[in-house]
Amino acid sequence: MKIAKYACGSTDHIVNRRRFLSGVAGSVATTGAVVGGLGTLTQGIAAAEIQRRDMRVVVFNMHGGLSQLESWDPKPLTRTGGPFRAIPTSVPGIHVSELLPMTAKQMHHLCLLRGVNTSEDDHGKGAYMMLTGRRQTPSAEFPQIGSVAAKMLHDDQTGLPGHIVVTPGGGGGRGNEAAYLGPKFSSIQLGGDKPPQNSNKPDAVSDEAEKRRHEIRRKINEQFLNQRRSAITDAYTHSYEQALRLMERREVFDVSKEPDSAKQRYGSSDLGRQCLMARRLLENGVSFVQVTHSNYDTHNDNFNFHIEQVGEFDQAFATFIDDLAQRGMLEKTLVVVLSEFGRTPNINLYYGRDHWSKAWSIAMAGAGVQHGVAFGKTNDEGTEVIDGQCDHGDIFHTILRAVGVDSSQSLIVDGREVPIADPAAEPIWKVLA
Amino acid sequence: MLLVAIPSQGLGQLATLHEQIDQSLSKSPVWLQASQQPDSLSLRRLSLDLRNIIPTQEELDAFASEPVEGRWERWIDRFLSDPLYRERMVDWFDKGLMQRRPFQNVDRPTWIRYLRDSVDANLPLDQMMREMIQSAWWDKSQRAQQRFYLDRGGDSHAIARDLGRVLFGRDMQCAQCHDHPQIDDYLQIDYHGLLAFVSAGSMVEGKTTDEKGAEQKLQMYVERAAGDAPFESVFNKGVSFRTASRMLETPEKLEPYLAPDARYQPAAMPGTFAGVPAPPVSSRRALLAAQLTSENRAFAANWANRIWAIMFGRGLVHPLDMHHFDNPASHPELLQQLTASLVESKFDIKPVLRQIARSQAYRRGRSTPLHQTLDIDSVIATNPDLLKQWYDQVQAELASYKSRIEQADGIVNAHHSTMETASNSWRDVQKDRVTLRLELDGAEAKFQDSNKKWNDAVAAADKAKGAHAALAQKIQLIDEAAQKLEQAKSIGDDPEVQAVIATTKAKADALRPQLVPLEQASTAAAMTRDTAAQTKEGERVAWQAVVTKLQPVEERLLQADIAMVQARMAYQTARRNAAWLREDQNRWERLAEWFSISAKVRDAEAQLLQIAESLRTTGERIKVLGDSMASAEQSLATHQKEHQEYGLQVASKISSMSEVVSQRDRLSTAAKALADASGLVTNGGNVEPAKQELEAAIAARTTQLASLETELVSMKTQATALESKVNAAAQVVGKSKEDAQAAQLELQTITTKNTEVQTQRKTLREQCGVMRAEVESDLQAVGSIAAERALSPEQFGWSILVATNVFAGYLQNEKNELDKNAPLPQDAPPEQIAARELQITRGAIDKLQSSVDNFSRLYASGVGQTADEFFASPDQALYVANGGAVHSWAAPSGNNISAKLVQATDVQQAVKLLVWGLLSREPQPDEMRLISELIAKSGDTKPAVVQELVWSILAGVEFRLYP
Repeated sequence: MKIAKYACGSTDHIVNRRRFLSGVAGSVATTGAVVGGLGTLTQGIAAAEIQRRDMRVVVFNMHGGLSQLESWDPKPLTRTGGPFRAIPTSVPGIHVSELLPMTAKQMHHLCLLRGVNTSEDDHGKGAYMMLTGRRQTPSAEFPQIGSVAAKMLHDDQTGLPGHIVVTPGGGGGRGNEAAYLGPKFSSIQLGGDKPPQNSNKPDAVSDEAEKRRHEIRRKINEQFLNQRRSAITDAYTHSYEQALRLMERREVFDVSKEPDSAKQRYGSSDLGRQCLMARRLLENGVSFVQVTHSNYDTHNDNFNFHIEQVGEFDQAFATFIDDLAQRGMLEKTLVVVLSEFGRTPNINLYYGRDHWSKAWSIAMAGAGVQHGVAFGKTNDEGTEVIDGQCDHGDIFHTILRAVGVDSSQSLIVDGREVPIADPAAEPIWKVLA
Repeated sequence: MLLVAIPSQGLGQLATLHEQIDQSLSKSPVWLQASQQPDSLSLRRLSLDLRNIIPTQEELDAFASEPVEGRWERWIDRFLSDPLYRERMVDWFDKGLMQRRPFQNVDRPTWIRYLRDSVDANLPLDQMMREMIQSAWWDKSQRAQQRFYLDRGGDSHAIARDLGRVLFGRDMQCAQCHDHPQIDDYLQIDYHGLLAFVSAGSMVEGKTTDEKGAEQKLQMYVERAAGDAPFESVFNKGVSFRTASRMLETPEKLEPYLAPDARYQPAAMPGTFAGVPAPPVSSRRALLAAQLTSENRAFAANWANRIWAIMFGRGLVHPLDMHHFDNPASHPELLQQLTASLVESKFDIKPVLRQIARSQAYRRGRSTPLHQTLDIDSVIATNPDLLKQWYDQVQAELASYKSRIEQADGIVNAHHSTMETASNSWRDVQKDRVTLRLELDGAEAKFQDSNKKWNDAVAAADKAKGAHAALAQKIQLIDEAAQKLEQAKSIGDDPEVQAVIATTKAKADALRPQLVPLEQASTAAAMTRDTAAQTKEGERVAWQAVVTKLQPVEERLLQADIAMVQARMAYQTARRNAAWLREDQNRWERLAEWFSISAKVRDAEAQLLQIAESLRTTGERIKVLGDSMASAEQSLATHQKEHQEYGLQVASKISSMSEVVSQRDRLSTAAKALADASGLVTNGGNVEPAKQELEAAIAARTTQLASLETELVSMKTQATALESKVNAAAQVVGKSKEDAQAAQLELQTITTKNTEVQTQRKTLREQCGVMRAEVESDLQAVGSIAAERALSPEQFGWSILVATNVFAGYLQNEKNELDKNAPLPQDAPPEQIAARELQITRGAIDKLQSSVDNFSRLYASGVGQTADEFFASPDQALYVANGGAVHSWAAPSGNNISAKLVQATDVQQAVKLLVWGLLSREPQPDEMRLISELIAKSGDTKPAVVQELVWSILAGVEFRLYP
């Protein structure tokens, strides 16, 4: 008895099939109930949209809330300005805090958004909004930008995961940011400069045995697949080959392979190593990398703290931008520096600044955003946005647009159309190149 | 009120459920139905469904050695009474109710203990749901029952959404802000009616003490007295509705209006929590719970469908959360029977599972006669006539749908207008209600205000009264003291005492005037209080008056509601029927399309064969033509050469002729000259001989010329002959060339055609593959073939532990430990033995849980998903390959399968053992060859090779999937 084979079985075919299904999903009132459903079946991506594989996104998550006044939007010599000066940058007319001397020299690559107003002063909620482009609601979960980027941009053939979050400590395992896109697009978390969990064969298994056991696995699979083959079996066997490719490419995660000069340029900080790792990952085809710099929640002693933190950031970030530009990667890589919110213009009794989401800044660089510009404006004391106001939803749209993704499209999830970005917001067209 | 009875065919439904299943699932033509799979694979399926693990090798052996008669039924019962069945149910409830939400307010041991206790007590499903909905939030011992609320963060919208999903199989999330945009069946009022059951809940922190007496803060999801839920559609702003709690498919639950100050129990319930607010007099949660009974069709059908999905991997309605009229059950009548059976069993799951397992359909494989007739590549039809016959059958089926659908649509339309009318009248009454409710809101606000004022006045009056009383008491005490002192004075007149008396009296006298204002104040405050009380009672009367006005309106509303719900139910039924017909028509259409595309593929294949043939013949012809052209060209060349050479001869002949002519001319000239000269030389010498000589020479030349001329003429003839030969040969060559060109052209055309048809074939094959997958999906959806299912993360983890004997080892350890510490008596009754087994199993499971959690972490869908969708990612593969655990479990150890394999001397036996133990089937010839070769040549490395083999199968695709 010979059971029919599932079409030709190539990965292309899987894509084809899914595209085909997206075509019929509208007419038949099915609800994503598809044979062999590949994870959460999300459909409706036009073929052209799949081909954006060389675009990348990097997010610097300035955990705790970076002070805009000690970074992108200084207000020296005002009531709220604090002790630091503003310094000129490589773009005449644009000044940043003196805590960013190296970044100032990269200003011609950067695009500052100084009119961010998100009206949310809670850490968790603010972070959720900035990373998903929506407000949190109890009855619906939305995927983070990393999962969306991995879904829209990543090429499985690289053998590397599409969504990586580098955390300074711990790490390991898979995150839970993908919501309806399915766990496939959740992040692989890397602890500092260590490669992903289990990416090295067990010591007890010799090289020869390693080769042999996978050979046996393939052969045994082959016999099964001759009789029973489907999208599921293809995806499953493919995941093992992907794993092997990832193991082969393990050196990508090994920052020690970088020359000492590079390490010095990025600085000896955790962030420096994370940035170096990020660059290596991007160079090797990872679509989305998030690095975290922690912790900016400076209710006390804001200024001393920012000297230290922003100093670390300045060196690592400026070097990172410079490197990407030098290597011609910046055109294809969107860099975003964000926080959950900014910090109060008002300086509190403990020389600290508190949570402030009404008027703060983020920075972007590369890909499809303009360079050497500062968009939006706050008033003299930085207490209000007076021009170019935008929020998390607009920023989310802008990020997607900047890497060529039509942010107005929807995915079909379980028979429901889910817009990939908040339909109430739209890209900040003025900063898109 | 029972609006909708469960369509029941009377009692006794349950006993024959398995037959009904087979009846329903055998309605399609036989050639679309898969035959049963080998029994050992069915046992694997059964074991996974009922116990979350694959069968052990020992079980497979025992099963295989039993007589077939009654075997299947015996094993169903055996598995159903296995301790692991209970754990399977615990897992099912856990995932189903909590959808992998993290433990936040209730810890895992508490939760699992509750589920185990419920399963052990065989708590009926409906009762369990009722407990969950209305358990006492103030009772510390009912934390687990409250987890449904507590670990959803007490968010009423999240809870309402999940009540819809879990209890009724309806995900109405989108109906929160407007009627569902894509699912006509989900109305905003359904969502808000459901929400109203829980919207008056909130999280409150209570203080208590833990077992050690330390202070413990616990979040409680308390219930407040509820009002109704006003809502308006975001699409239709300004049109507002009000609903109290209402259950799907039933009218709103009207509750008596309780006066605002009579809505809570007079005191907090006796419980363990400090600071617990008193519960409301009328509990919406209790109201909801009371309706989770067999009379609630949506509730019962939802659970019937979920139970079905345990065994078939998908619901009759699928996805499980999408019960609505455009997504009808694949077998509507079967869902009804199943629901009736569940009701008949009083929501006991086990008998229903037993019946499903008994059906023939449950044991179906994947291959149908259709699969066997129409081969893999859809090219070869082993029996074209049969195929044609089937195709005709499909067409005949299809032909019947048009009129059936038209008829069904007609019914839908009729019911739709009835429903519209009913819902319009309901809307009208709603308007009156909303007006009155707004009025009531005003009256209530006033009452609350007056109530607050009254409360304040009561407090103020009490305070004023207290102040007066306190002073009066003080004065009285001083007076009494003065009196005592007077008595002391009578004993002996002491001036000092006198002085004290005077001072004391003066004190009292000084205070006395202050009494008056205080008394006045007290009286005034009491009056204020009484006025406030009057005002309050006045407001109460006013409030009551509005309530009285409301009552008839609500009575009317209820009537309108009942009519609306009835009309809606009828409409739903009609629409579901129509949708089912369309769905079924679509299935037939897809099948027909697959047939026709596969026929096209076959055509294309046949065409390609023909093309290949003409390519071959044309090619050959071109070759032949080429050969003959070569020979023609050669002969042309020869002739040309001959002709050319002969031409040279002719030329030389002509040239020698002209030589003779010129000699003759010269001789003639000489002769003439001689004649002229003879007149001059009359008497002189003799010229005659010279003259004669010359003439002779001339004559000779003339003769010579004549003969040359003759020769030339003949040569010219010859030359002409040669030339025409050349021409003829050239013609042959020309002709050959033309032929060759024509043939080349032909070849080109055929080649183009070839490419064209090949492209066509490729596209067709792709379409064919897609269509085939669609058909497979349809066949799975209607249960004609087994659904393709991956093991759940937990099934995968536990099965690996079972396959490698790790689980057995843990069981043994538990047993040894218990036998040592608490040996069972020799004559222990069976219940005690069973309890011990359960204890052993749970002990082993608890110890191994963290190993299985590793699988859950990697293989499970995210939090909040209804079912584990299959997905594969490299981090899963990395874990299995390199995580260490799986590979080390596969090492030969103790009596595990690897150890047995290492010890086995007969290689073939070893292979059988391996495939049997891990995959529950006999090895296939190819496998036998491959694996025995590997083992045979392993030599010293046999243990390592065996370990790799076992690992490979565990990591292989077959192990990951259901048989």
